[in-house]
This record gives sequence, C-alpha cells and structure tokens, in this order.
Amino acid sequence: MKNFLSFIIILSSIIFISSCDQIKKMDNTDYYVEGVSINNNTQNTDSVSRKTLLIDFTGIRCVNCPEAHEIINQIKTLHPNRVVAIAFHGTSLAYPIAPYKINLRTDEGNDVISTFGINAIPTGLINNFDKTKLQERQTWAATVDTSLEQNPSVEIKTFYCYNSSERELKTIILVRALKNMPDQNILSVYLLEDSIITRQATVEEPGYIENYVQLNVFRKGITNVWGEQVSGLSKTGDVITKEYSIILDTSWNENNCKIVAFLRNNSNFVLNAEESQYITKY
Amino acid sequence: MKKFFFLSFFVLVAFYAKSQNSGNISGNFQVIMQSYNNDSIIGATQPAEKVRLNSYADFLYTNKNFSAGIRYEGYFNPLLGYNQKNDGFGFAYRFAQYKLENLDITVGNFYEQFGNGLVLRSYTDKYIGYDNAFDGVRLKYQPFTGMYIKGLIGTQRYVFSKTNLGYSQVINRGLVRGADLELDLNQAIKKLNESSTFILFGMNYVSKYQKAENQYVTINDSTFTLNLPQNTGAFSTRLNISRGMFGFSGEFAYKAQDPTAENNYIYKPGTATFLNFTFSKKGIGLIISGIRIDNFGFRSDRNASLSDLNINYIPDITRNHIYAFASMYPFVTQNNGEMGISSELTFKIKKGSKIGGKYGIDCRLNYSRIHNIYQKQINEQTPLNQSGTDGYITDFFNISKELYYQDINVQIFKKFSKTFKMTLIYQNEIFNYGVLRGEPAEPNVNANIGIIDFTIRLNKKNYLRFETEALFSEQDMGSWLMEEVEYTVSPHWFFSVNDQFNYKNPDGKEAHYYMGAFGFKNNNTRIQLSYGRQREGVICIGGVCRAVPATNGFMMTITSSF
Repeated sequence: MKNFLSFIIILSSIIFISSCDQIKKMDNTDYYVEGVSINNNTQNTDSVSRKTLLIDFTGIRCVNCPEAHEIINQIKTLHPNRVVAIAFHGTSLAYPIAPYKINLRTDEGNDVISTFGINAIPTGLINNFDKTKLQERQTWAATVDTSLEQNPSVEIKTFYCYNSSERELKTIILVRALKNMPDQNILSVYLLEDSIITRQATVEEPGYIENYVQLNVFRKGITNVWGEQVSGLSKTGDVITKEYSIILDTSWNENNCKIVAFLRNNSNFVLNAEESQYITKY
Repeated sequence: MKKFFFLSFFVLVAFYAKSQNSGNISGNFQVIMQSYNNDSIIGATQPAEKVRLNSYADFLYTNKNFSAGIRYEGYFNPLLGYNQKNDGFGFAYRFAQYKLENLDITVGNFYEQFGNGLVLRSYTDKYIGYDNAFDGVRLKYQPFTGMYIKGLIGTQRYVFSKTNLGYSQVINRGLVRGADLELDLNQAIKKLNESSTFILFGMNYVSKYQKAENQYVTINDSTFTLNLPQNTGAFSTRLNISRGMFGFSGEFAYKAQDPTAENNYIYKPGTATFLNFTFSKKGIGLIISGIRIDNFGFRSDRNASLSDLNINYIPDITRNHIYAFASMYPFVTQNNGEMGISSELTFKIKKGSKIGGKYGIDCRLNYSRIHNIYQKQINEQTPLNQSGTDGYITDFFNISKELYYQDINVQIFKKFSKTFKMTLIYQNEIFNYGVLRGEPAEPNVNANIGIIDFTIRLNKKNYLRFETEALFSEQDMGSWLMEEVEYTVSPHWFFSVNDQFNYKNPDGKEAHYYMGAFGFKNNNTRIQLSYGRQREGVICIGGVCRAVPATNGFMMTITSSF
C-alpha cells in the first residue's frame, strides 16, 4: 500500500510538473519570432489619442542606459506619435568625471531622483509619477502596449511662441476633459532638448561611445518639476488654459528644444501627455 | 486581509498554547539604524531622511508535530545599499507546518533546496538583503527508509509587492513547480547498512510558468515579437559517494529554452555541472571543485535582474574571505557562463617539530581560477547573443581565454603561547572589473594583499587584537593600508578603532576611512554602535552580491533572541 501510494505521488508529480514548451524557429531562419513584422502598425485614428508618458532615469556613465534608450526608440517606432519620453539625468552615474565632460543633471531632476530614492539606473516610470511604480527597462514595452489601450480622459494641446532674439519662450497649455472626473489634478510642463552629443558609457566594447546622441533631455521645469495643481476639469467638455513664459539658457540649442506637458491625478497616475514640435518650428 | 487572518490565527494559537502550558515559542529581533552625512571626499551623499532603519523579527511556535512562524520586516526606509524597492513594512513571511509519521506538510512561506541548488534553492540572507522565499505548498514524504521525496508549488517573494503582479508590474509573477527524489542506498538496502562506502543519489525536476508578454526584437530594420515559451523546465541528477578518506559529489543540470532579460532573450538550452572531490586524513585535507555554467540563470520572472526572483543558485567555488582587503574584490557568480576550478590544501605542521614549535602550525593554500566559457557565433551574420536566436555555439571542454577571476592565497595560523597567537595571510588576486562589476571600460585589477593579525590575551577576561592589512594595486582605487586595534573585555564589552587609508589612487585622491566601534553583549542581546566612513564596494556571500555606496555616519545594530 505504501509503495503504491508513493508510486502515485511520483507519477502525478511527474505529470504535473513535466510541462515545458518547445518553441520552433521561424522557417528558414535562426529566429524564434512571430512571422509578422509589426512595423506598419496603423496609428490610432480617434480624434484624440491616448499618449503614454515614459520617464527614463538615466546617466552618461551608466553602461546599461544605451540599451534603455534603444528600447524607447523601438517603442516610439512601433507607436508613432503615441509615446512621450522624458530623460532625467541623475544619480552618481550622471555625474561627469573625466573623461566625461558634459553635465546633463539639473537641480530639479536631482530633487525628483532623490525624493524617489533612485540609486540604480536605468529605471523608468510609465504613465505614473510615483516611486512605487518604478519599472525596469525590460518591462517597458509590455506596459506601454497595455497603457495605449486605455481611452483618454483628457486632451492636452500645446501652443507656443518663441522670440529667438530674447530667447523667450511663451507657451499656452490647453486641457479639455473628455469625461467626468475629480476636479483636482496636477499639470506639469517641461522644456526638453534633443540631440545633445556627449560621451556615453555602454556595455559594448570599448565601454563608451564618444559621440552619443542624447534625446529628450530634461532641461527645466516650465511649471515646477512636481507640477501645479489645477482645477476646473470636473465635467466632460470643461476646458482650462495655462500660460507660462521662460528664458532659454544660452547653452541650450533652441533648434532642438521642445515642450512636454502631462496631467496627472492625485494618485499620480498620468491621464494624458503631449509634446510639441521643436520650438523654432511653427 | 489574508495576512491579517493568518496573524490572528498565529496569535490565538500562541496564546492558547501558553494557557495550556504546551508548546514552545522562540524568536529573534534585529534592528540596524544608520545616519548619513554628506562627505565629498569619499563621495557619500545624504538621503533626504538623514537616518534610515531596517528591522526584522522572527517568531516561531512549535508544539509536538506542529510548528508555525511569522517574520516581521520593516524598512524605514531601506538602508542605502539595500534594494530600494523593498520599501515597506509588514509580515513578509508566515507559515504553518505539520509532521505526520513520514509526511511533512508546509503551507505559506518556506525555504527549500534541491541538491546543491543548481536547479532550485530558496533562502534568505539579511546581510546581503536576499530573500527568494516561496509562498505556496510543500510536501515531504518518506515512502521507505532511505528514500525522500519533496514536491512544491508556489510563487516567489519579490520585495513587498502587494499584488500578484510580478517584477514587470504588468503580468502575474511566475509559478514554480518542482519535485525532488533522494535515495540513500546505505539506508535503503539492508546489505549496505554496514558498508563503509556511502552512496547517495538524487534527481529533481522544476518547471516555471509565466504568461508571455510582448517582447520585441529588431531584425534588418523590421520589428518582430519574440515567441516566448510560457513553461520552462529544468532537471538535475546528483551523486555523492564517499569511502574512507575520499569523497566525491557531482551534479549535472539541464534547462530547456528560457529567453530572459538576463541572457538577452536567447533560446539556447542551458547546462550546469558541479563537481567536488575531497580527501582528508589527520593533519591534511584537500578539496578540489570544478564548475561549468552555460546559460543557467533560472528565474521565476523572465524580466528580473540582479538578485531578484532566482529559482536556482550557482555555487561559488572561490574562497569567501573575511578580512577587509581580502574581500574587497569578491567573485560574482556568472549565470550566463563561467568555467573554473578551485583547490584548497590544509595541513598541520606537527607539534614539537623544529618548525612547528610547541603548538604546531596550521597552513592553508588556496587557488581558484574562473574563465568565461567558449562562445562562437551561430553563423557569420548573426552577432553573439543576438536576441531571438540560439545566441552562441559552445563546446563543453573548450574554455574561453577571457579570465574572470583568479585568487591565490596562503594562510598560516600559529599559536606561540597560551597568551599570544598570530595569523598571516598573503593573497594575489586578478579581478575582471569589466565583467564582474559591469563596467567594461575598466581594466582588470591585479592586487597583492598581505595581512597580519595578532591576538594577545592579557588575562582571563581581557584580549587585545592588532590587525594590519595592505593591498597593493595600480588599478581601480589604487593601494590601501589598514590598521585596527580591538580590545575585548569578555564576555560583555568590545571596543575597536581602525583606519583604512587609500593612497596611489589613479584619480589622485587620497582618503582616510576611519571607523570607531564598541559593542555590548548580555545574555542574548547584543548592541553595537559605530561611527565612521564606509568605503564604496560590493559585499558578496556565496557569489551573491549587493553594492554598498560610500557612507559617513553613525550605525547602530541591536540583535536579540529568546
């Protein structure tokens, strides 16, 4: 009886656990992939689209950060005009120690990074502004896929006017409620710069890239970096506008600067995001 | 709610047991508190809270065949250098266990190991902030003398994640199922009961399930989704044989397709081989270990990294050093591939001989060397470890020229008299900084280390210890010198001061890392207070590591048990 019992236990455990999938290669290739290229994804044709905010915490001396940037590029290629990225350079791995020269850290970015307790990068936030929602780069693509399925609850539009002789940027942000929702929300508007050339550490030999193109670099909060409380969006159709003005630092290339705006609720969930063209283009 | 229910149950059982005067309750408590100051010389920064604290408390109730336990953990907030995501407090571990004659049932959390752990090992180590406990059900069954069967199912702990969502926070955490069978032939077969040859055989199978999510790969400018396996199985077989002075143990493990973030989503099956020979007789001992790991990271979440959600454990065959500079460049086990050997010879120079003197001399020679495994491209067009392919071709007996780690060390322990003893250590290390610390631009570190440690017994209760360490290197932070004096008043008090001096730093900086500490111990309670600078580095136990940032401040540790 005892032996019979043990036989049953062994047999059932083997059947129970011997589950193992065997994936076959795609015909005539060395790749274990689905056969369909998904580059030609059609864009969401709704008049207002839900955009996903992806905040990347990164640094020039961080060897794994280029891989995270590549993931962002892939995601943006897959979902054209649907992903808004912001790169906060921070932690000790963003500190320029020779031969790294260019400092992309900002006081406001450092404030976010220390408040969020980030000491390992790359890491990111998707549609959240909350330290408990930090995510590793390997999971970004799947989270963006899921978040793009949501319906937008607000529409955000950015308008701007740039005076290049004074380097003054005036911007108006319009937010329209697409459904009834709690009245208190937080609006954040930032100035970002693309195409900054720096030396960047990488895992690939020889361990760095001398002329690396940094994208979506956070330069300054047009609102406070933590955003500004806004009200007046409780009912469908409610519209608010906010006006701001800043002077661009002379070290920033105005031709590569853009505005990013996002609205989050009191649970720090991002309701929608928008980015402008480069401010010197109209 | 579930946790609350469990806790209430535990408290009720404990009170009931006490009122009935049956059963036994034991436990322990630990709190580590640290304050942080800014210190630009060593690169220490002060977090916003200025003071942080980790705390742990275990309670275990046993009554005859029944036992139950809980562990409280609180991080307010996690000390720097620990996983900052582990930012919470609550009952992180709870279980109940019942033993029948030959059946043992555990529900809730448990730790388990199959063989050497190549396929499955869950354990906790507070010092390195490691905990991959299972939450599920485990059965252990002994059908007859000498045969042991274990079966388990569960998910693994990932920080204080309250939802069932795993590492990615998108899909549910992976489910682990496994069974292990162990046969002790000397117990099982009557004829072998009296044999002087001991044979133990074991085998196990573990499978993990995790839903597939979208993972992209770019091939010739087109993006594809990876066809991910949702179930991945791994098995291992092991054999231990010992006879007289000789012993042998070996384990071989195989893992099916398991594309993960750690291996860059390659589909090549993995293998792991671990061999260990021992020889010992009075006054001499020899251990030789060999290991070969080929794509054998095994985690219950395919996106996990660092020391998160490991199902298995790759044994570290290198020596774990305890002295400060000897452990400055520890080996970090390489799940994606490593191949190495280590040997250790211990012997005693006899008492009364010319060299041995009155008490004899204990000597230890240790050598270990670990390389990468040989890897060749799968074809000329595809780069090594390309996502979505088999990654690379390897050859079991071919070793890569890429050296990861080498350690040669000699230790001599000599007692001169009843009041005076000494330890001498020389060590030479080659450390592949690029791979082992993940910074490929950094050159290998070659370090020579010397250590002298004297202990003088002043009288029955008072001991004085002097330690001098020196590390000579031209790479990383350059060379170091350390002096330490420790005074112990047994059994209650100890005081120590030390200074680690960093010089010939390639950056041109020099810095003193001073530290003063005192401790008090009474019965089962120990309090230690220290103040000073802690250098940036890595702490490893058994090849599993955590990075420690430079800090400057007070640290208090209280441990207590009952």
